[in-house]
Amino acid sequence: MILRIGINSLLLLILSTGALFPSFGHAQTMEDARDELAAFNWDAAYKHFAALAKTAKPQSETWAQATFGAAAAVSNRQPASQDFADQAAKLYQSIVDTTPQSKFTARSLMKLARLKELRDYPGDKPDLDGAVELYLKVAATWPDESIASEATLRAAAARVQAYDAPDFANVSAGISLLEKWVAEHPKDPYLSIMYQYLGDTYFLPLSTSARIAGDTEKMKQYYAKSLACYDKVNSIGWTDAGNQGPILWRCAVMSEAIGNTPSAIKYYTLIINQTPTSGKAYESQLALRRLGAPAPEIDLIHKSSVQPATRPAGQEVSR
Amino acid sequence: MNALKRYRRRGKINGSMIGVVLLIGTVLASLGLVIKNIRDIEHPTKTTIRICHWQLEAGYRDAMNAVIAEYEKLHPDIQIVQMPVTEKVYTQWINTQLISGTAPDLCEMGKSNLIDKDEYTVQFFVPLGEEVVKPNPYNAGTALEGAMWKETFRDGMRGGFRDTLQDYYSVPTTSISMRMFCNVDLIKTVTGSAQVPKSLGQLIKVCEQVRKYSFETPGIGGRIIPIVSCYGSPAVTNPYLVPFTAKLESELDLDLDGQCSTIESYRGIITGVAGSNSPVIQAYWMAMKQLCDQMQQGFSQMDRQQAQFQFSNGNAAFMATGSWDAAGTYLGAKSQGFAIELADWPLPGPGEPYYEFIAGRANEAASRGAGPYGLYRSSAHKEEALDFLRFLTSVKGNEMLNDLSGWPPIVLGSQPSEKMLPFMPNPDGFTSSLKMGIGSRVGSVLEAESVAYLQGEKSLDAFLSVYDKSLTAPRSDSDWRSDGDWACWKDFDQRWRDCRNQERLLTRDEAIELMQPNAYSADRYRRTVLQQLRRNNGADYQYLFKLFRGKPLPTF
Repeated sequence: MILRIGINSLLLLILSTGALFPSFGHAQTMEDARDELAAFNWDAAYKHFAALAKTAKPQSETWAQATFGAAAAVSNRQPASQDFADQAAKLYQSIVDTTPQSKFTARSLMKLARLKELRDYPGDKPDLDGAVELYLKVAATWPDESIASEATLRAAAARVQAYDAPDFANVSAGISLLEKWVAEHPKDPYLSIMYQYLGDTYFLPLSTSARIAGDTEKMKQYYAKSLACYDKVNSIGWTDAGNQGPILWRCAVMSEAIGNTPSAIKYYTLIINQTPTSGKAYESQLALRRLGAPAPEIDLIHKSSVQPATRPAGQEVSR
Repeated sequence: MNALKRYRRRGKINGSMIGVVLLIGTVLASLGLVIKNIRDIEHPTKTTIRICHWQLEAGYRDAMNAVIAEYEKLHPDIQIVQMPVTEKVYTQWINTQLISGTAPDLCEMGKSNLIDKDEYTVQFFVPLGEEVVKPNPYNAGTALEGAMWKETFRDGMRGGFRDTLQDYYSVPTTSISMRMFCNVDLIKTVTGSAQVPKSLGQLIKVCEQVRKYSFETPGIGGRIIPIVSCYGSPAVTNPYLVPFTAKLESELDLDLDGQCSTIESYRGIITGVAGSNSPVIQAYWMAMKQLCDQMQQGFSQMDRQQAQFQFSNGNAAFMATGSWDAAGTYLGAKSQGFAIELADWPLPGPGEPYYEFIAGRANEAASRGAGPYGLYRSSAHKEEALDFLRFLTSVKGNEMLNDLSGWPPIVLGSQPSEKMLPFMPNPDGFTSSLKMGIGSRVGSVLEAESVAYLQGEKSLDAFLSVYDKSLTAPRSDSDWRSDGDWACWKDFDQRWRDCRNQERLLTRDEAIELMQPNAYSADRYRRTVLQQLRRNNGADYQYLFKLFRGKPLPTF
C-alpha cells in the first residue's frame, strides 16, 4: 500500500512538472519553430524561436535564423500593438547590426522598412519616407540580388501611396523610379508586377483625377500610358493569372475611350477567352458586335490554364 | 402493477428504489447505445473516415450514402461515416469538435468563425494547394484524365480558394442558383394556358388572375397565394437589381473594373446620378412593390419551411428559392400531382412599364461552387480522407452525388439531371448593380424600411426619405460625418487590414524561403505581393473619398 502511494506520488510529481514546464524533456528544434510559423501559430513560434536564439552561439547563422524567426513571429502576434512592432524592429535591427554577412540580413532590413510602411493597428501612422529610405538602402546594398527589385518596387509603391494631389510629385517620383528600373532590368522577375503597378498608377490617381476635373485630353493621355503598361503585362504574363478579368475590362474601356479600336477588340476578346467567368464575357460579346468584330462563344470551362508569369531561368526570387 | 404493490407490501421494494432502478437502467441503456455507436463508427478492421455537413435537404444524405457505398466497394478497407448535423446547431457543434480536436476528417466549410476566419482556418484545416494541381485519379478514362484536379471544376475550384490566404482550403461539390418555381397546372387552371410568364407584365397579370381565382372560387377562400418566397422579399427583388441598375455602370464605375463598388455607389447616390429621386431608382422600387403585392400580407414573416409547404401543397403559383430546394419541392409536387417548371424572374418586356430602364438579365458566369469540404488538420487519416474527396468530385462521383440529391453538379463532364438543367449557370447577361446598402448601418435601415414599404406599411417617399437620411445626414450639428461616410471608412479600414493580413502570408513565405527553400512557392509569394501592392494600404480609398467628398476620409 505504501509502495503504491509512493509510486502514485512520483507519477503525479512527474506529470505536474511536465505541465509547469512544457518544454521539459522536449528539446526545441528549428523544425518545430518553423512548423509553428508555417501554421501561423505566432505565439508558439515566437516562444520556440526566442528559446533557440537564447541557446545559439551569438551572431552565428543559427542565431540569425532563430532571431529572424522570433522577429517574424512577434511582429504578427495578435492583437497587434506598438509593443510587438517595437520588439520585432529591435530583433531585425540586431541581425542587421551584428550579422551583415548573414542570408537573413537583407530580408531583415526589408522587414524594418515594411514595419514603417504598414499600419499595424488602428491609429498606427505609416512612415512612408522612412520606409522608402530603407527600401532604397536594400536596393543599393544588394544591387545584384533579386531582393533589390522587390525593394525598388516597394519604394515606388510607398511613394505612390502619398497620392499628393494636385501636383502628384511623389506619385511621379514613384513612377520614375519604376520606369528607370524596368528599362535597366528587362528580365527582372518582378517585371510583370512592376508594369501592372505602373498601369494601375497611371490610371489611379492620374487619369481619374483628370476625369473628375473634366480634363478629357489629359485623361486620355494617362489612359494611353496605362494601357501601354498593361500591354506589357499581357505579353509577359499575368502574375495573378485567372483574376485579370477586371483589368482586361479596364483596358478594353480605356482603348475605346482613346479611339484605339484594335486594342479594344483585343481586350474584349481576351475577356471571353481568358476569363469567361469574370462576369464580363457577355458584355464583351455585345461590345465586339458593336465594333463590328467577331465575338467568340462563351465557354464556361474555366481557362485558368493560362500560366502565371514565370521566373526567368537561373534567377533567384528574393533573398 | 399489482406485483409491484405486492412487493411493496412485503417490504421488498420501496418508492425510492424505483428511481434508482430507473436511473441504473437509463445509464446502462445510454452506455449500450454509446458502445454501439462507437462500434458502428470505429470499425475494428477498417480505417474510418468521418464527413460532416448540414445538408438535410431531401435526397442529399441518400446521395452521399450512395457515393460512399460506391467508394467503399473500391476500398473495402475503408469505412466512410456520414455525420449530418442540422444547420441550427452546426456552428456550436463544429466549434466544439474543432477546439476539442475531435472534428470529422472532412467538414463542410461555413457557418462558423473557426472555419471562415483566416486565422482559424489555417489552424484547423489543411491547405490543398499542392494537391489540387495533381490529376484526380478517379477521372481516369474520362475526358478529364490527366487534368489538374482544380481544372476539372466549372469554376476552376475558385469556390475553394481563399484570396486572403492565397491557397485552396476546401473543395466544392455542387453549384447553386436561384430560380422562379412555377406550378404550371395551377397557372393553366387559372388562365387556361400552361405558358410560364415571359415578362414582368405577364407575371403580374397571371398573379392577379390567381388572386382573383383564389378569392372567388368556392372552397378556396383565398388560400392560394400568387407568389411565396423561401427567403423573404430579397429572393424576389434581388434578381431585378442588376437588370434595373446595370446601365449606371458607365457613369459610376470610376475604376473601370466593371463593378459599382460601395464608394462608387455612394458617390452616385449623393451626386444624384443614382439618388432616390432618380427615375431608375423610383422605377425599381415601384416595380418591386407591384411584384411583392402578389405575395401574402406580412410576407416577411413567412420562413423557408412555410413557403415550401404552401407551394408543395399547390397553394402558390410561384415560389422563389434555390436549386438546393428543388428535390424536395419536386417530390412534394409529385405527391400532390402537379407539374413544375423553372424560369428566371421575367423582366419588363417591350411596351411594358419600366422597360426603358432594363439593361438585360443578370448573368451567373461568375458563380462559384458550393457545398465545400475542408480537410481537418488533426485528421488521423488525411490521405484517405483526401482520396474520398477526390472520388466525390470525380466525374462519376459528382454526377452521382448531385443527380441523386437533385442538385446541379460542379465537375465538368458530370451530367446534370434533366430537372437540374435550368439551374446550370447562365453566362448571358450583365453583372454590375448599384449597391444601395452602403455599409452595414445603412444596409440595416434599407432592409427594414424596404420591407415596410414593400409590405404596404409605408409609402415610397417615406421609405426613401428615411434611407436618404441614414445615408447622408450629418450625425449631429457638430459632426458632419454620415453613415455613408462611415461605410467608406469601414471599407478603408478593411483594406489596410487586408494588407496587414497579407503581410502575414508574406512573412511566412519569406521565412520558409530562407529556412526551407524547397518548400517555398515563388508564384504564391509574388501573387500575394501584387495583390497587396494593388490595395495600396487603403491610401487609394482615402484619395477617392477626398476627391468626391471634398473632405478627408474621417476616422471612426
